[in-house]
Amino acid sequence: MQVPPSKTHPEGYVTTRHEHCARNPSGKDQLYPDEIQEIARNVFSKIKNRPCSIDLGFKGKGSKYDDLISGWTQYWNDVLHPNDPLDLNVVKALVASESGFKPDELADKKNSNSARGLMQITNATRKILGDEKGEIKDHYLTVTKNDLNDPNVNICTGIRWLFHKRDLASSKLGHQASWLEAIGEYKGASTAPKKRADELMARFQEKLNELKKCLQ
Amino acid sequence: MPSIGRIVFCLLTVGIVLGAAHPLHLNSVTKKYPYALLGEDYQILDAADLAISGCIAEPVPFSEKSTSYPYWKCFQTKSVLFECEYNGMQDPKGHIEAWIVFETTSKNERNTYLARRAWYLKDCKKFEARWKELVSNETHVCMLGSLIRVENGPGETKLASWVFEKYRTRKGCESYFDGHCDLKHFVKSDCVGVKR
Repeated sequence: MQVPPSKTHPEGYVTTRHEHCARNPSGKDQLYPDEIQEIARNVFSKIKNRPCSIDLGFKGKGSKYDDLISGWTQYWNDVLHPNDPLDLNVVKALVASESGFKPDELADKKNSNSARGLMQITNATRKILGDEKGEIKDHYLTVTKNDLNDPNVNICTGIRWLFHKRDLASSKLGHQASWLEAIGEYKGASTAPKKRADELMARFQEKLNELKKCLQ
Repeated sequence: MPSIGRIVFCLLTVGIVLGAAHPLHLNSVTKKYPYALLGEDYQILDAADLAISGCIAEPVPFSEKSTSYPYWKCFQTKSVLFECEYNGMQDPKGHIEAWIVFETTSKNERNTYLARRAWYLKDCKKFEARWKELVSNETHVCMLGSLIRVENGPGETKLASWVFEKYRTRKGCESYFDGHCDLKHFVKSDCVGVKR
C-alpha cells in the first residue's frame, strides 16, 4: 500500500500490509495509482460521452487518450459537483497545448520541479495534491513523479488540479471563475506579462475552437 | 594573357557554382521533409532536425491555420533578443516565475517565440547562459516553433508568435522539452514521422 507523504517521508513510500483494514480517520478521499488504474479499467470503456475525435494535427496521438479524458472528466465532475460541469473538449484542448499528446514530455530535466506528462504536472503540484494539511481540503491524490509518466495517472491528476486552479481563480477574481479563467490560472497566465498571457491563451483557444466544430 | 571578357566569364562561372552549392545543401535536407523549413537554413540544420518536426505533429505546408506542426525559421543572431520576462509574481513557495521569450525583428516581420510555461527565474537564467554560449560568434540561429498566430502590425509589419520548441546554431541545440534535440528520443517512442 502507498503511504501518503509525511515529514519523515516527504515522498511517501510503499509498504506491505497483510489482512489490514485501512483506517481513514479524516474521512477524506485519497486516490492512489492502483485505484486510478482499476477505475479506468473497469469503468471507462462504458462511458459514451467523448470529446471531439479529431486529432488536432497530432496524427496517431491526438485521439489516443479520449477515453481517459472522458472518464476522468466525468469522474471529477461527479465527485466535485461544479455548477457548470467541465467540458471534455476543454481538457483535450489543454492536453494538446501542454504536451501535444506526448505522455513522456519533461520540461527542463535539470530542474527537479519540472512539469511532466500529458498535462505537464509539476512536482510542486504533485505534493500539494497529496498533502492533507495543505491548501487542498479533500479528494487528494498520492502519486510519485514516475507515476505521472503514466497517461492515466497524469490525466486524473491534471483534471483534479484544474478544478483546484478554478477555485484559486475564483478566489482571486471574487466570483466563480469560468473554465477559461481556470485554464489561464493552470497555465500560469496570471504571472505572465499581459501580451504573453494573451498569446498562451490564444493557442489553447485555437485548439478548443477546432474541437467545438464537432458540435456544429 | 586572358582577355578581360574571359576573366569575367570565369569569375561568373565560379560564382554560379558556389551559389548553387548552397541550394544543393537545402535540397538534400528538404527533399525528405519538405515542409519543416521556412526559408534559408545557413547550413545549420540536417535531415534529423527536419524529421523531428514530423514526430511532434503531422507534416503540413505552412499556413496561418497550421498550428500543430512546428517549423524552422533561421535568423541573424544579432537580430534575436532573448529575455527571461517576469513581473515579480511568485509561486506559493516564493519562487519568482519567468518566461523564456525570444524576439526577432527582420525586414517586415517580427517573430516572437514563447515558452509554454513559466520556469523559476534561476532556471531561466541558466537557459539564458547556455543561449549566450551557443550564439557567441555565430552569425545565424535557427528557431523551431509551432505557430500561435499571425497579426498585422504597424505599417506592413507581420507579427508572428510561436510556441518555442528549440533553437540550434552550428555550436549546438537547446530545447524546451528534454530530449527534443535528439531524433533518437523520438524514435524510441515510435515516431511515425521518420522516413527511412
